[in-house]
Amino acid sequence: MPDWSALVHRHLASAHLDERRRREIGAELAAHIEDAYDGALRRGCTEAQAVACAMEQVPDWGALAVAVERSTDEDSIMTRQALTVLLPGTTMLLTAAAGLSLVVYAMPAERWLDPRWQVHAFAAGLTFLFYLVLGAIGAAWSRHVGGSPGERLAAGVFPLVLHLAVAGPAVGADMLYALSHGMRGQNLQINIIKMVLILLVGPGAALLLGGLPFARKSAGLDAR
Amino acid sequence: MVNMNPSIKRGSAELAVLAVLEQQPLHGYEIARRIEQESDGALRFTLASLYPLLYRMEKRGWTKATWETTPAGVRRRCYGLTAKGIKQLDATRREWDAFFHALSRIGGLRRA
Repeated sequence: MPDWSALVHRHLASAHLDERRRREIGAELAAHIEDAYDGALRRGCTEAQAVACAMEQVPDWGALAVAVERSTDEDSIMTRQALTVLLPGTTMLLTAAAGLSLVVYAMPAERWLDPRWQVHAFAAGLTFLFYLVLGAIGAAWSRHVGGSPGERLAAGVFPLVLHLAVAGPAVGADMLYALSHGMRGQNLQINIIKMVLILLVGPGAALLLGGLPFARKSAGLDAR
Repeated sequence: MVNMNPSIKRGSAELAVLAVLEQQPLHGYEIARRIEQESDGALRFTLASLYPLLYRMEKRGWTKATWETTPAGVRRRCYGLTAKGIKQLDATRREWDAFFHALSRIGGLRRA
């Protein structure tokens, strides 16, 4: 009879487990293989057939080592939220950054100063639609990988982080500029409100609206 | 096991393991054997499919494992259901019951 314990320990050597856990798992899996081997012998198999039957228990040792390793940490909050919030959220954030950079790069400078309100309304509409789609994709992705309704919403509105990072310094710089150019009181307030609306409220609302349909609790069989 | 969607497969595997452990604490090989027997061979677990699931369930607090010595003098790690596991089994049963009920309405399935 092969030394099942040595076999299991050799194959699990690559798994990142603490030593005590590795010994325990090794002993348990070796016992299982031994039971399978004994069971095959009891059913009338030859020694060679029983060994083959025992070895069939693990078609891929590498995959088993990874699965055992994952089973000990895959449900930790960090791993779960990395999968359900950070991964879809960050991807959508990078897409938003790439989209905005493209617009800034491709748009002729004079178009920013175009006096016609229709031009600005059209640009705002397109941006709103873009963020609506990003919010929907982020939340749908999170739902696909088993995110809870809260995690789906978080993944959907995640690109807002980009806007917070941009809006904070931008509002500060704008205030400094306005103050240094003598703007005071109501004009200054209107300016700040406009910036907050454009940089935060608008994109935030679009992301939220896009993500909402996917944030509803779905029936029973979501991946846990 | 039958080839199906991973989340459904995982859910059904959890139900099968929790259900056999409801009867009595068992070690891994015995869990796999019972499931195969009680499902007339329709559900089969190998070591590779069973233990990652058992470790996940233990980590979630659904089962508690202890080393025990069998009458033959062999040490085996036996899994028993915790109170949380019993609750989970109830919830999983309800979930699958609702699922089959819905399927039977749509697909005209007959239930045993």
